[in-house]
Amino acid sequence: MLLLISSSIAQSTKAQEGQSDEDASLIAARQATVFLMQTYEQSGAQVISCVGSGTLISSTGLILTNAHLVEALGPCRGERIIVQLPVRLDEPPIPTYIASVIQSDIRLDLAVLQISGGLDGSLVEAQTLDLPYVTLGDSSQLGPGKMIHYIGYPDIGTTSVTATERLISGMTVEKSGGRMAWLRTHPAIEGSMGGGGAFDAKGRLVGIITGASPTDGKLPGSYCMSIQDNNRDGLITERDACVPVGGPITAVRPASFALPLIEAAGNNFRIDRASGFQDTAPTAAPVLYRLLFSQGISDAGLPSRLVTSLPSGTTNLFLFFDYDNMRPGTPYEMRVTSNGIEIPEFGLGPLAWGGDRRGTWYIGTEEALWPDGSYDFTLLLSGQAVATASISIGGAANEPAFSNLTLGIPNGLGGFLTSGMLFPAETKQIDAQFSFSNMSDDKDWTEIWYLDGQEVSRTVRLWDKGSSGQASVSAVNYEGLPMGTYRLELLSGQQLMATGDIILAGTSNAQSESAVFSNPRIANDITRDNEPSGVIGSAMPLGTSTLYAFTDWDLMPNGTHWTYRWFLDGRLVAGSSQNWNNGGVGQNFWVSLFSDQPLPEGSYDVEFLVENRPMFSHNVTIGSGTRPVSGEIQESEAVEISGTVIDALTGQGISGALIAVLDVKLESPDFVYDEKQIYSQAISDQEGHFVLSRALPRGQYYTVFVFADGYITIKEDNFVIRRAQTSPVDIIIEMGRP
Amino acid sequence: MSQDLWGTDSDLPEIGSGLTKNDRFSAILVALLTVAALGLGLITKQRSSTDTWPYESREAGISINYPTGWLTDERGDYVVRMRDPKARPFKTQYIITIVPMGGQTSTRNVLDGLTLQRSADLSAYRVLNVQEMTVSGVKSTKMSFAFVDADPNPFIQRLPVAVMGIDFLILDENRAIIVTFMSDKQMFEENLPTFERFMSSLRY
Repeated sequence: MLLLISSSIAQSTKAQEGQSDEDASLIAARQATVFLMQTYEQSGAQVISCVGSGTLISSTGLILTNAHLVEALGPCRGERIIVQLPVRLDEPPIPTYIASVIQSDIRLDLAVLQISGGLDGSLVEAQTLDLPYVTLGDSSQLGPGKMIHYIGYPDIGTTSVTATERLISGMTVEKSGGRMAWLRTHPAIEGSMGGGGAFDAKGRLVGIITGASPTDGKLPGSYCMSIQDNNRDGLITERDACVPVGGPITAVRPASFALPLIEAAGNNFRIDRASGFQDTAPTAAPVLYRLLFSQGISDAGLPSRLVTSLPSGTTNLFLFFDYDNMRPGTPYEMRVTSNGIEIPEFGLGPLAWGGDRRGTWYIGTEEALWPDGSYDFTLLLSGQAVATASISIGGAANEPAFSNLTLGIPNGLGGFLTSGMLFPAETKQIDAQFSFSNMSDDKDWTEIWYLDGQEVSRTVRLWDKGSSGQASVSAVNYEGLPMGTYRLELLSGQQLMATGDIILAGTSNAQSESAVFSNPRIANDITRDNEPSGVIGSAMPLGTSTLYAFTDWDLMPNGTHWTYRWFLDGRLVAGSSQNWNNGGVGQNFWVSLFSDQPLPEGSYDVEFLVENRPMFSHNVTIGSGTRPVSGEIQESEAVEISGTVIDALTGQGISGALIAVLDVKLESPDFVYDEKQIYSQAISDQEGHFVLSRALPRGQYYTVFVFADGYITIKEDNFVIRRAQTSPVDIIIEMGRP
Repeated sequence: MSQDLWGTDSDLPEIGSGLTKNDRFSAILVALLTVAALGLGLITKQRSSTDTWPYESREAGISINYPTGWLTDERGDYVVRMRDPKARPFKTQYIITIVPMGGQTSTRNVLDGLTLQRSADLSAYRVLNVQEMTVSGVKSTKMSFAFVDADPNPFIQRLPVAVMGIDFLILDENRAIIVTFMSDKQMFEENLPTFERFMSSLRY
C-alpha cells in the first residue's frame, strides 16, 4: 500500500516574512557587496598590500570599486586581486575568486573588475557564475537631505558586511568631476568601506564610497596596520609591512560617472593608443602652490572672481591651486577649519590623486551657506600639510574685484570671434576682457603674461577707469603668438585680482578656432609602420574586433591635456584623458577600440578633444549599424528565484533535488523529459537551498517539476510570477515520501 | 545504570500465552500482508529499474534504450545525454558522443582529447585506467576516470561529490562512438548493471 503525502510549493516572499521590500532590497545589496584584497608574493608567501570593498553589478562577476584599491598605485602593487564573498551575511566574507581590472579611470577613482578565476588559479566561465548583483540607480536625482544606505566592510575583512544610513549633507565641486563631483555625507563612514556602494531605498547603486588612506602606506600607524609577519621573525610588529586603511570617509562618487566604464566592461571593450614619447616619472617632491579663492568657476574651469574676503550669506566658494610633480594615487586632502575646529563638509578627502602631473586644480562648494567667520584651508599630501590659505567671511561686499575674465580673439567690434581656453597658434592678438568693481583711480595695476611658465611681458599702469565697469588687455605679436601655454595675471598693487590660462595650438579653421587634428580615418587593422590597413572607411563588416582611428596633428604642444572618447549608438563606452607627448607635428597618430570577441553591431563614433574642446568626431558602423536588444536588459525584467526543498514531514532540507522550470508554453502533460523543454533549473545543496539558473520573466504561469530519490515527484502547473512581483523571491518546496 | 534506564529482558511481558484463534489469525494475516507488500515493492522496484524508453538519433545513426523517467538533452557537444533527475547528490548520467576518426587518428588520440578537455572543465579529473576489451564481440576501449563535482555557485552549500565514470570507445569505420557513464562513487557499483543493460541495447 502506498501512502501519498500531498506536496506543495509555498511561495513565501520576504514581505510575507514580515520584512519590507526596502529591507529585502538592501539584503540583496549586502549579498552583492564583496571584500577586495590586493596581494603579492614575497618569498613564496602571499602578502596583503591593500584592502577595500566593491559591489557586484552583474551576475557574470563584474565588480565596481575604487581604482586606487585595485590598480598598482602607491603601496598597492596590482598583482593579484582576491574577491571575498559574503556567503553568510552575518559572517566575515570568504575568499572565493581572483579578479582582474578590465576598466579603470584613475581621475574618477573608479574601476570595474571581472572575476576571472578560482583561488586555485582555475579559470571561471563568467556566464556560469550566476552571482547576486545590484542594478544602478539614477544618481542625478540625489541631493542634500536624501537618505542613503552605505554598504561595505568596516575593517580588514574580519567582520561581516555592514550597512549604515546617512543623509546626504551636501555636494562638493572638484575638477575631477565638475559640479556633481562628490556627494557628501556626515557623519563620516568607516575608512575600509571605501569602494563599497551607496544605495537608495530600493537597493539601487547610486554612488561609490570613496576615500583613501591619509598616509602613503609605507609606515605602520593608525592608518596602516601590520597584520602579517612579513619579515618572518615570528612576531607581527611595526617592522612588518602594513596595510593602508582609510580615514573617515565623507565623499561618495555618483554612480553616473561609472556608466561608461560599466558599458565598456559589459561589452568587453578595451582601448589603446599610439605610445608616444616616454614620460618619465617625477623625481622631485610634489608641490601645491598659488592658492587662490574664487567665488565661481568659468566655463573654461578658471576662477571667475578672485577674492580675499567674502560678505555674509556666501554660498559659493572655491579654492584653486597649482600643482606639480604629482603622482597618481598620492593621498591628498583639503582640510577646512574655523577657530581650530575642523568642518568636514567644507573640506574633502583624503582621496587618491587622479589628476595630471602638473596643472591647476579646484575644490569648492555651491549653494552651501558659509557662516560668518575666518576659515583656514590646509592642503595635505600623504598626511602632511603642504600649503595653507585663509579667507574671512562676513560683513558687506566692498572689496575691489576683477571678475568674469574672458580671453578670446577680438572681432574688431569689441567682441570675440572665439573665446575660451584654446586658440590657434600664430594668432596675432588675444584679448582679455573683465569686469571691475569697487576700484579707485590712480593706483598701480599690473598686467603680466607668461609663456610656458616664463614671464614674457609686464606692464604697470595707473588705474584710470573709475570704480566699476568693463576693461580689456591684449597680447599682441604681429608675427603671430607662438604655440604654447599662456597665463595672464592682473594685479592691483601687489594683490592678484584675476588670472587666466590659455593654450595656443593647432592651425586656424574657418571660424578662427584651433584645429589640431586633421585627416581622420578609421580602419580595422594596422600595419607595423602604424599605417591604416584592412578595411578603411565608414562601414566595417560584422566580425570586426578592432577599430583604429587615425589622425594627423599639427602644432600640438607637449603637455596639453587631450581626450579621446568612443561612443556606441550615442552612448559613451570608453575614453581616456592624458597629456600629449607625441611632439608638435606628425601623421597617423592612432587610438583603438577593441575586444577579445567581435565588436557588437552598431554605430560607433570616435571623438577627439583638446582641453575639453571638440576637435573632430568621426563615425563608423559595424554590420547594419543596428544593435540587437541586449539579453541582459531582458533579464532585468525577470525575477530571480531561490528557495529551499524540504521534507514535508520532518522539515529537513533535501539535498540533491532537481528543480526544473519548463518553458512558459508548456504544461506538465507536454513534458517528455527532454531538457530543451526546461527553461531554468537547479540542484539543491546539503541544506536544501537552491538558486535557479535563470530568472523567470514576470507575468507568466510556469510548470515546475521537482525530482528527488525517495520522494514523490512534484508537478505544479500553476506557479505564477506576477507582474508586480519583486525580485528576488524565496520559495519553499515541500516533498512527501511515497 | 544503563540497565536501570533501559530495562532488561526480564522486564519484557511474556507473550504467546492466552491468545485466541482470532488473535493468531490476525497475526498470520499481518505477516502475510507484510510479505506481500514487500514482494510488491520489490517487483515495482525491479520494474522501475528495468523499464526503458527507446531513444533514436537518425542523424548519428544510433538507437538505444534508456531508463524510464530520465531526462534527455541533445543541446551539448554530444549526441545525447541522459540524466536520472532523482539521483542524489550527483545526477547519474549516460552520454553518447560521436567523434570523427580518420587519417592517423588513434583511439589513444581520442581519449587524450577527452582527457585534456575534461581536465580543463572538471575539478580534480583523473584517468584511473585504460584497457582494451571486447564487449558482445565488439572490440572497444574502456577508460575509467574520476573527478569532483562541485557547484560553482559559492552561495550554495553543496558538498563536492566524488564521481566515477567509464568511457566505452567503440570504433565504427571512420568514427568513434563514446558511451560515457558517470555516477556518484558511492552508488557506482549499484548503478553499473543498469548501465550495462543500456550498453547492450546500443545499435549503430
